[in-house]
Amino acid sequence: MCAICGCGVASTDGQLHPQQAEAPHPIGPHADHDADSDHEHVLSDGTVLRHKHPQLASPVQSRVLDVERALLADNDAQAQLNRRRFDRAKTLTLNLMSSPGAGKTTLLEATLRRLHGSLSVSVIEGDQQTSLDAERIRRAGAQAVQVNTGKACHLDAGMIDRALTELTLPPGGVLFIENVGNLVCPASFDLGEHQRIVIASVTEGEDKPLKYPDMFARADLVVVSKIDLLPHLDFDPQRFAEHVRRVQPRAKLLQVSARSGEGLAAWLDWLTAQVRALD
Amino acid sequence: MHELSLAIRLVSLVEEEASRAACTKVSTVTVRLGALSCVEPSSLQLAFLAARRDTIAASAQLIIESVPAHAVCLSCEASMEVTQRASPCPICGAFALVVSGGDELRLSRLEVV
Repeated sequence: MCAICGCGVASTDGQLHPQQAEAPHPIGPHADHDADSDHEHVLSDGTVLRHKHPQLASPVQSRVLDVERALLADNDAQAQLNRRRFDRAKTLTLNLMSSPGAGKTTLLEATLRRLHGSLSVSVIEGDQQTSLDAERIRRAGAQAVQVNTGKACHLDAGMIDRALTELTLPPGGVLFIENVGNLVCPASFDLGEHQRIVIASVTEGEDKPLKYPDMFARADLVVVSKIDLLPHLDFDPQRFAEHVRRVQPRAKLLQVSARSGEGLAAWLDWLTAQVRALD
Repeated sequence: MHELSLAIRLVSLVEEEASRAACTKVSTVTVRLGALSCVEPSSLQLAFLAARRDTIAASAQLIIESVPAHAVCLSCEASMEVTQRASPCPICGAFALVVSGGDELRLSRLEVV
């Protein structure tokens, strides 16, 4: 083996390379030329050695494959199909995300009561187990499908596609997708929704947007819930709003209490405006 | 996030590409990971060790290249690269950065034998 470049054949203009020891090439064999082409080495005393590599015994040549494939490409492609379906049906689709217990289902129940059927609503409920939430929604008067994610902590676009086989998309209405209660994982999965809504209850504290920035960074609307509890807490809505803006300066903010009804009119106005904007 | 399921998905993409290229071994797998993607590089490395087992990538090294996100400041209109959310504008100090990109998550290239 050539002691300088490590190539398998050691012949230089008919002679052997000066050293025959098996020394590794300083920058790897044949880093600067094709393995089987003529090439030369210039030694420290100025001697130029030329040689050929007719055949390589070792090392085996590796090659680089440029691939460029997105890891979540399957989900993104399905999300695009979902979105086209929502567009064709003219159904405003909203992905509702929050930590567990922030009041997503309660807000939907209050919304349905206030709408009195003036807007047609369907709901996809995501939870690890049970159909408790879908039953609550049905009792409040809307069509609901429960998706159980089992051990998974988020909904993905394929689950929405499957849920749509059991649901009619209300033309000119709204499809709410209530994601699994989780402020981390659902942020990464496009479901094909038109807008993302993040709900944060006042009992969770003002620092949630800073602690879970990935979720808030993708929000179109942030709803602060349970504001009827404000008199009992140190929660400062201004500080919370400032923290949301740090992560997503363009997110719109609303404050609601499903229990007292405060702020629900503004929420319904926002909803109606989004439905109109889709038309 | 879901480093294990992503690693499994990654290895199946690697297997697809390697069989298409008719190679016998994958020595390195390079992924491009947005600085703001919800993936923890060290968890992905660990999950990759489990996912590569008994595959053509069984001895492959995972190289993670970080890709920064871009941001524009709504206050001073400067544009910049960012690697973290909720950070102030380095020019004017305002917390008014609108961030784009930085969430990519892709298999970029393979070194194969």
